[in-house]
Amino acid sequence: MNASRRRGSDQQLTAELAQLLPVPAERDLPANRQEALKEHLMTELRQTDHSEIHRGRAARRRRLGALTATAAVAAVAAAGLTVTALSGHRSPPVAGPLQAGHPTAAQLLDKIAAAAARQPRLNVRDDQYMYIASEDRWSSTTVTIGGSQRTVVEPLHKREIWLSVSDVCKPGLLKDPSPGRAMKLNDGGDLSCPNRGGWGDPTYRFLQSLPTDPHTLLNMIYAATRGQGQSPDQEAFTTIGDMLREAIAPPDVSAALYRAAALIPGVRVIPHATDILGQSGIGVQFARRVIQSPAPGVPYRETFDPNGPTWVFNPSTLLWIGENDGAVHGKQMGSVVLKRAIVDRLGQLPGGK
Amino acid sequence: MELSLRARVRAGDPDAFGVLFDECGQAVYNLAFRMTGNWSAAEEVVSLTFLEAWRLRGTVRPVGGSLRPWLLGIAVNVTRNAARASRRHQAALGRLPPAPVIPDFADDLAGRIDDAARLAAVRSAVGRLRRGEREVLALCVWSGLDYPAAAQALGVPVGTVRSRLSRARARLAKLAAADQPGAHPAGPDREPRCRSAQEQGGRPTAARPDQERSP
Repeated sequence: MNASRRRGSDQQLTAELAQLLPVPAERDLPANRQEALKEHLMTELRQTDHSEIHRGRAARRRRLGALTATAAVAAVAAAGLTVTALSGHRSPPVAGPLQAGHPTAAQLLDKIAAAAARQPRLNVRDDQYMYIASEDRWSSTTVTIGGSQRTVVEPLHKREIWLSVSDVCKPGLLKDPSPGRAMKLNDGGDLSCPNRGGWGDPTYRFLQSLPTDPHTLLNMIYAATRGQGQSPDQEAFTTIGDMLREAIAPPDVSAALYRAAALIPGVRVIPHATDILGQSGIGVQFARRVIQSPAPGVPYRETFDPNGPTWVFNPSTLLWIGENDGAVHGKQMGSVVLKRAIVDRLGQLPGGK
Repeated sequence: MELSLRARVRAGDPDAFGVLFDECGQAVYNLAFRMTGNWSAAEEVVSLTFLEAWRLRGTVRPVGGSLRPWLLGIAVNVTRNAARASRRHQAALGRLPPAPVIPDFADDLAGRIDDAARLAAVRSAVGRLRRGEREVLALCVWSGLDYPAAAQALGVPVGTVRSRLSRARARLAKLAAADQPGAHPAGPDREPRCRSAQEQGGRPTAARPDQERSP
């Protein structure tokens, strides 16, 4: 009774307000513009953020310059959602049930953390740069207005990046043939400058400021990524991967990040993983859930993705080698780190000028 | 079991966003026009709203009805923080197909002039409301959301929606009374109206990326 009276008075209030105002214009978005805007949206969604795996990388690439965003990849969405699923070329699962003698993810990550903690501690000045060189292979997908897709695998190529150790507002440098030329990087954005970055764009100083207790660290990551991605666990794993891939962290923080990853449900060991250069290693994977239609006309359902993001480690040193992000056209997408160093100037190579 | 549109949106299925665009694009466009007063700015708000929706898809609740209130809430935030949203999606906006400069038909041009005149009247009326009051008014009166849906869209309690609308009604009623013949036309109350009429021909509220980019 009360509720219906209230609803009645609500409607009356709305009606009175409408009468007090001139009638505003209303029109349809012209059909050709609606089509153009929708096509733009669909292309953007498929090109820039196809999967949670690429979210961090795509975000960073967008941050670093518009050009690379188009080259960022559709590996899993394209492969997982439509293309590969329909053509029946899905790669077989890369990991079966664990055999006896293999460590659990927690045991393995603990050893990986110990190895990371033994790395030398660096003396870093605020005016220096993180230099990361990697071999990368990604794919790009174009979607036409009719909905047909074309996915092209980029050739394997070297990527080099210089990023300020202390301030994301300071220009960096990217050399990567997919944008086509060396480019200055800058991210003023809506940041207040100077800015040591955050979870998506960490500087050395940001990473240095993090707590080394894995539970505290993981809770901070859950809080910072709340509401993002497909699930809190997946988003946490992706976020940690972003900080380990194209950045440099102090040894104790690297170790804490690995121990935090060990606490995430759904993380498992891939005993025999192969990076994109064909080197074998030991892998740690997040068991990603995907929405997939097995065939045209068959309803979408939630299933398990054997191509989930996988960190690959050197089996003897247990140091980070690279990351695999699913396969496209039978080729493994991802990156392998060649060199990390702190250098004095933009464009300077480690130990050189 | 077939997943609902809501579940597919949450899961990041691009096709689900295509369906959402077909269903709600027009509603976002009209809300955006009323908030910005400019049809081409409204187009940009439509794009930004859906790009933001994609970014924020994880915040969709697992169960619920239409996603329209959620989208309209994002649209309100986009118009409020247009500069921030367009910087976030700067690269994507750079690829937005440009709107034709010359309208296809002469009556379309006339229609736009008429729209602008009607809008000037509306804006002069709502120009004196507070931002929060304008937002609930746009959602409840123009976009037809009920109070709980508007509350959810804006992330405020239902009581706040009611009180803002009541305040808006009181303010508008006072304004209407002042506009009656015999009321003093040149009182201090007139001044904000002139200002909002000038804004009409000025820069659209939604920032365009080329203007945001530093040289």
